[in-house]
Amino acid sequence: MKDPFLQISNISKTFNHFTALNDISFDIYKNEFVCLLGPSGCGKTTLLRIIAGLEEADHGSIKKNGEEMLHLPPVQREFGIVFQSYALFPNLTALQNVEYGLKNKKVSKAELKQRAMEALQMVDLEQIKDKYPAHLSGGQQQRVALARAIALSPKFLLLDEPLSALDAKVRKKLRYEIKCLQQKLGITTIMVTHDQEEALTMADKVVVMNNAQIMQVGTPEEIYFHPANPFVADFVGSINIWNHHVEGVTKAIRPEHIRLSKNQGMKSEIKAIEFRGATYRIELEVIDSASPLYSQKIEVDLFASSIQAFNLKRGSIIFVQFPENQVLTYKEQVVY
Amino acid sequence: MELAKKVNIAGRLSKKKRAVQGKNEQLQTILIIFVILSFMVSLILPLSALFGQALYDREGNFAGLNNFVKYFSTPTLVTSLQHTAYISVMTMFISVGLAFMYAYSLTRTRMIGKSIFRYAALLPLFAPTMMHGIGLMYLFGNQGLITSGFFGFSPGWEIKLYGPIGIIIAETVYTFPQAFLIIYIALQHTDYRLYEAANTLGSGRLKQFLNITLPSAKYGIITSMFVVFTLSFTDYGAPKIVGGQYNVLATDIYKQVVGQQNLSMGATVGVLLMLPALVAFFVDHVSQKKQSMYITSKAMGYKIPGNKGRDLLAFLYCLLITCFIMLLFVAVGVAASVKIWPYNLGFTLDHFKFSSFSGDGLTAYKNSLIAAGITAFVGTIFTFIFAYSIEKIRKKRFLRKLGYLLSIIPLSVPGLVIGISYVFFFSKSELEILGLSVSNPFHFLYGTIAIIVIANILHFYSVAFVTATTALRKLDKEFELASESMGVPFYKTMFTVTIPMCLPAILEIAMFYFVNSMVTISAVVFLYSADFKLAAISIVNMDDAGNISSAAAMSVLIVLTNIVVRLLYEWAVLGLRKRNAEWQK
Ligand SMILES: Nc1ncnc2c1ncn2[C@@H]1O[C@H](COP(=O)(O)OP(=O)(O)O)[C@@H](O)[C@H]1O
Ligand SMILES: [Mg+2]
Repeated sequence: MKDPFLQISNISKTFNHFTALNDISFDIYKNEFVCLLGPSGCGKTTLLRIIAGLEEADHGSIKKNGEEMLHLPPVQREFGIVFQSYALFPNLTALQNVEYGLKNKKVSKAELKQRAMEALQMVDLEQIKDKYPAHLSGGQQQRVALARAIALSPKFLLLDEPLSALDAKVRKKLRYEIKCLQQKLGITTIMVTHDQEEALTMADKVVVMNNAQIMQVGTPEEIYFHPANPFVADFVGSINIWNHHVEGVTKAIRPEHIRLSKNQGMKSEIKAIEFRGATYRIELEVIDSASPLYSQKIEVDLFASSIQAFNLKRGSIIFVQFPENQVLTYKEQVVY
Repeated sequence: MELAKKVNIAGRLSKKKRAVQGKNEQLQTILIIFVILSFMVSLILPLSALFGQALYDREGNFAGLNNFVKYFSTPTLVTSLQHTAYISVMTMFISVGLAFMYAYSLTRTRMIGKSIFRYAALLPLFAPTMMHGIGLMYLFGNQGLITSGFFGFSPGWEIKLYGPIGIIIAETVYTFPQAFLIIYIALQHTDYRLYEAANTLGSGRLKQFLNITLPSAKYGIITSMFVVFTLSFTDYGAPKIVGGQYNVLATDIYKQVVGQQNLSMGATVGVLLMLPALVAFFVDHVSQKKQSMYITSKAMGYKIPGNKGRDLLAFLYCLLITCFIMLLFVAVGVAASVKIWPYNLGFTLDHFKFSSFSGDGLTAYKNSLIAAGITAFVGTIFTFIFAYSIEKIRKKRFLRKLGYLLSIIPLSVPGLVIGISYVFFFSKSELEILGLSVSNPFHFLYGTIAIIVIANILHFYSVAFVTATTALRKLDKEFELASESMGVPFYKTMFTVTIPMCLPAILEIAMFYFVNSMVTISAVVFLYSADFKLAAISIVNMDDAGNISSAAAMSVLIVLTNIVVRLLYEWAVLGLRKRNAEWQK
């Protein structure tokens, strides 16, 4: 395999005895879109800021193309960054904001303007170039910030929760646009998010973090279908988790992998049916006293057709089956 | 080929960026060290000189606490301390009580004329404290308007003005605006949801007042009590004019240092002067932390229920206070522009020529304008840069914290103490450090305008610093990170973004420095030189020489100047707001 573009090794960081990052290592390849995913407070932003050089790590190394980068000041790391707050300068127009970093590069006035306009065109905003940030919508501000970050033709892009301040509709649209832009530019990108859907839809590689540590690194599919531990299984997507007392392990299965049957499997009673648009989420209680899951609640996702086929209502009795190859087994015991 | 070119460009770029970054960080380090060093020279070393002096006797022998023992065994000095404490306590209760009712009327009633009342309450800020004394003389003095019953039209009313009564009234006028502002803000910020909750629980008006209003304004009231106490404890101007034979610490220290050249006893009194302010400093620290419990970002403004009787009462009260303040100012204005009070009340502008007073009245006024102008200009630049360094530089955390602490300390150093400690530090051409004698590199400042400007800046620095810091904190803290990541030096972002966005606060700071430099006397009374007299000082000198109408005229000039500057400030802020409307929401 080719050499990694960024090699993050054994990064640790503490704030007055509080461990914010604990021995973080992973590689990022050229043109990859990497998502740092984890619950709030797990250290994602801190890691991003260490990569940017806006925060100092206590230990570890970050190599860019094989060369140590940790001692370099931010500018020399050659990245573009979009902050959670966007940090657009309120007293400068959209265009002036995008030009801001270029001005320092001693390029000619004409080239400066041209490059800034190109960046604005990239995010489809040349028509609002003379507006001030206060007069732009959240989504537009976000894209101006993105244009400002890419105008300097950085080697990689850092995005800290770029979509979290937007409402759901805009967020979905921008998710797609950012991904398109990233592919068009072929720029290596690291994005921080606590939204697993965002990570799964946008990333080539997801780094799942919890409590200052890496939980799993993998493609969205690996993370979703083969979560390495109960935390990832639970954090990414929905999942049923239970302790198997006989085997002394933890088992898990996703709601959409559970099969229903009229007469075979664990006997269960339907407790609730929740309409979710394209699918229904069914909550069952296992009433088969021989089952290790006896009296546990289970969630199952079904299409409307299955609901009709089984004629399901609250209180109906149904049998559930866990396909062997879909059940995940973990050695860790988890208390739920 | 194409690729090679690109790599080449990148390589060139990064070399240049390296240079920029290096300079950037160096400059930031230099800045923050400069902040600390400035405080060393303007605050720490002079105060050390003061405390040091208090430990030595007149002949320069180490005396330990003997000076304090001597102080407390000298009856006249102890009496002064008692006097000062008495004045300050009385002023504290009267001023805070009046200010609370005034602020309450403005925030919790629907009376008319609120904005006029608000400006009227602030009027005393534009005048030197001597002027309040002079105004009182013309109202309650031996030939005062009220003493003589409006020149015999009505029965006279004589109060024993010269002494504690006069000082207390003058100090009350002087401290009223400060107490009012603090309490006003505290009352304004009380969360209305607390009252809504109380209403739904059916608790009565009195209960709400006792259980919500008072506790939520409690820290404002406590803070204002300490502020008022400290201000009147250390004021020099009012006791000088209406104190008569009633000695207080502030006049004592002047007599000890300037009159008797007893620097050791002067320093001892200086240390005593600092005590209430030091206590206030810690109380304020605690109360500020607690006050935030009552002020949350979701707090709702107070909705005032209708009540005609209450509104009328509040209106009459505010009218009374406003009339008294106005009367004081008008009295001084009239005194300054009639021929001979009270015998010839014909109009004249002769007193504004200051011809009877050795001719340097107008020069003193001009000097004051120069000193206040330089203080405002230099002070604003320094304050903003200091606040910026402490607030916005990313590294050097320890030094920045130290800088913050040093920026708040001047708040508790009274002007007189600044003045006297500057005398102790800057007047010496040789400094004794651990028994070694080195020449004092700052001695050359002594007796120049520069030392007056420095004293003024330090004297008013903390409030200005807090204003600047508040403005800076309103800006996204990621502006600096964003520019750092783009390789733009921090000072460029400061000039293109930070300063334009903070311009209203910057103007406010400049105005604040100017107005206060015009009226202050406490710090500069020790520092002015014979060839650079100041207006505030000439008021005292004219009063001493019995030339009270000239003193009144000078006061009027100062007040008018300050009002003009204030109006200019309001006009500039209005213009700014219009100009910036396009990038504001
Ligand atoms: N400058 C700092 N000082 C002290 N603690 C910090 C600082 N920055 C972050 N932390 C702490 O480190 C932890 C991780 O923060 P962060 O990286 O912002 O989390 P995330 O972005 O994953 O929500 C949090 O508990 C936060 O309180
Ligand atoms: Mg974060």
